[in-house]
Amino acid sequence: MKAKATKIKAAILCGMLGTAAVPAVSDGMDYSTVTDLLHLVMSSDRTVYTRMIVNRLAVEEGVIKASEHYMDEKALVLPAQMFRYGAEMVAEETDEFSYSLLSLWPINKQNAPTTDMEREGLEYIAANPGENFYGEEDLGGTTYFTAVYPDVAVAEACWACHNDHKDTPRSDFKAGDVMGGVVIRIPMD
Amino acid sequence: MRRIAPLLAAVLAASAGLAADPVASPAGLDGFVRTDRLPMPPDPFLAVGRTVWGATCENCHGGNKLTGAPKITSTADWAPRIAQGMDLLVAHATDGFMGPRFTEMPARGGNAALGDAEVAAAVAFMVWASGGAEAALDFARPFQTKENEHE
Repeated sequence: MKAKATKIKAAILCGMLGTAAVPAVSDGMDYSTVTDLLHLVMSSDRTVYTRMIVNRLAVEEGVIKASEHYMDEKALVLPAQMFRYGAEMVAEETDEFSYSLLSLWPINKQNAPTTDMEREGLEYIAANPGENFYGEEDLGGTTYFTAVYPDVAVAEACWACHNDHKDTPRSDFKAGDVMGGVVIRIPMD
Repeated sequence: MRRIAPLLAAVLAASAGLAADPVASPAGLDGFVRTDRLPMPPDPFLAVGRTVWGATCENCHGGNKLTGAPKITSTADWAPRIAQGMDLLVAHATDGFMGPRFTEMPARGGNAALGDAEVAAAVAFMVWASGGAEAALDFARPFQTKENEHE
């Protein structure tokens, strides 16, 4: 599901990516290329946090745990929480793009899809492992390029916590399952 | 019979290798690999492994990069692992394993209902489809013998 090859003069975004000096970029990039690159940074940072911090210290070394209630329990923030805090910080800095972590089976109902395209994208990535979803949607008079990327259960702590949580609407997640999706949105107007 | 036996063995060995060769390559098959893109192995133990793999292992080992799991059919991913020996690979899959970069292989692929033989069969199938046909078939042989003894 690839949107038509619309181009973005992505000077602002390229500056954020630290690639403004690269000539090829100044000619413009497909929206999907921009969201793919943004997602690559997001997912890499989060995966490194999951492996090198949470798996190493909480699972392998056992010196600290990761918890949803990290303040009360003096624990590490969960990888998903770290990701959300990053999204909040970006939202404070710019409206050139936004991102969020949503799910068809959210523990927190605020993280359920709120637009038809979000739902369509989440259903698509859940049914098509390894694929992303791209589309355009009109929200409040603005047209957005919207990309949805699979958010996968990469550590036992992910699916065990979701399966056992008192508020979970689904309790049969297993390794590698698509548990939700990263939604990246760029205004096109 | 003395002449036929070596020939038969050669044909069986060749067919066993050929069955997996079309899918195994350094990078492996393009895109996400589901069971239906993988050949049926010539050994019943490995055939059981194919079924187990599809139900439990495919999610990560089908090419899910974020999990850090080595992709089935990728000889680049699997050759160094196969070199460690089947027994170690099966032990890691059965008991769970934390990789050197803190990637996590959950015990029994996170499916506690799987028996030891099912886990071993799934590992052997994955090795067979990823450039390790000889190691997988050698590993499967005792299981096949045990089955025959019960017949």
